[in-house]
Amino acid sequence: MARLEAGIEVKTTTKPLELLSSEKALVKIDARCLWTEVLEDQRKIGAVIHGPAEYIIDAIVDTREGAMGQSFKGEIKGFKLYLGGTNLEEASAIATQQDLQRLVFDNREAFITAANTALDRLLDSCSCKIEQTQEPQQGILMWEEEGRKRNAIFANRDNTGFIQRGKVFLASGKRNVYVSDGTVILSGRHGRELFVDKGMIVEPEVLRNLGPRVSDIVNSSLADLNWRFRHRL
Amino acid sequence: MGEIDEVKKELEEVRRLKEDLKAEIEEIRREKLRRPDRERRVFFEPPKIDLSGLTESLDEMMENIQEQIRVSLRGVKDLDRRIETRIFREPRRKREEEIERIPPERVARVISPLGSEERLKILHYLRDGSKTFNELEEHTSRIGSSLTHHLQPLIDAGYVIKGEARGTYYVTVEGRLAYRLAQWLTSRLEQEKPHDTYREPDEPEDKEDEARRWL
Repeated sequence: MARLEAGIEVKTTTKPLELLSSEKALVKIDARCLWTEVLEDQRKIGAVIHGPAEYIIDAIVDTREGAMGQSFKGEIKGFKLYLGGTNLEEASAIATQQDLQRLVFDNREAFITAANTALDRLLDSCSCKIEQTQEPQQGILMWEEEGRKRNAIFANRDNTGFIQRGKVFLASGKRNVYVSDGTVILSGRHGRELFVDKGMIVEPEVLRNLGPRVSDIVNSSLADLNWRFRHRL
Repeated sequence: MGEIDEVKKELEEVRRLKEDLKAEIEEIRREKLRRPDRERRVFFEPPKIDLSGLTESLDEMMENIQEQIRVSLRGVKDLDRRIETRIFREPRRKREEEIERIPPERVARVISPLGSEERLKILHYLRDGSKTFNELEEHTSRIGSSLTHHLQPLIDAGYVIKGEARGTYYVTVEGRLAYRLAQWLTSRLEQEKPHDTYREPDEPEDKEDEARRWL
């Protein structure tokens, strides 16, 4: 796989934009964010973005016995990597010196260097390959938070995923995974449901297999997104 | 929130309900025995309440819950046996004491969010799956703040949860349970009422009865 690298042009968003959108996820970026394209073999496949963004994930699983889970909201500061379809271009203009300095970059080169560093850091030990162009608002967003690299939100027509420190959520048709704060909910295509809560399952075999099971489901959904995401959860 | 904790809560609620009803029935019986014969004859015969039927229904409900857990955990080694041991063998006396200690304000916190036909309609509608605010408006014929007025107590009580991304509303495990128990209570109380005294609120009074009263 060719190395992903930042482009040479820096742009700024002129209005707020929905970067990712699905039935259960929404990621918005503010006006005046700086960004540059991400290229793979000179092909545009996404963007490295710097500036305020916020997300809302409805990590709610509707089971036979009622809904479980919660909505997660948060801000994403600093650099983030977006790979997928986007309307960023239509909502942006070439960044001026003033735009760059507002986010404490001396000039365009300083931003590109920082973007490449962020790109390398975010893709360390992870390889991504795009099979086809994604629709706007469908793709994957990765960012660093408190030194942890593997924060991600991905969304397309049928799948929504969210991986953050101690939290995993996936909605993929009738398959759902929810892991947060000691609670695990797995539901499958054929109506099978498994709930594990703090201290309620003491069977070590079950716990040992949970990680791979969650990982398998998340990875197969990412495959549906036409991504190869070789990550251990 | 774990299913097992919810089932535990569910069972506790069912048992509390059963014990409350049992205590009330005993109280009615004691009251009846205390009254002098003459006085008793003045009043209507109190409705007979078949406690054995009540007990059977509750036991059946608990068995169903137990079966649901077993089905969910089937194939997960011998976990179902462990769950059964953990949930269904609490000391009976301890449970009874806990139930007796529940103060009215705590009961009100659980029951009062259900105290409106509109809210019950919302819970009933959400049983089919999540709904948007617009869908709820259409279903209840209430719009904007009028619908919010009914939704908010259900959300505050934890019976309904709102997905913030799209403003989608879901009925929670507690909400389903509360609604199911409300239906069950309705069914039982209607069964116990003498048929000649029960009338739908909007049912027109019999013209003949009305005329007789005026005479």
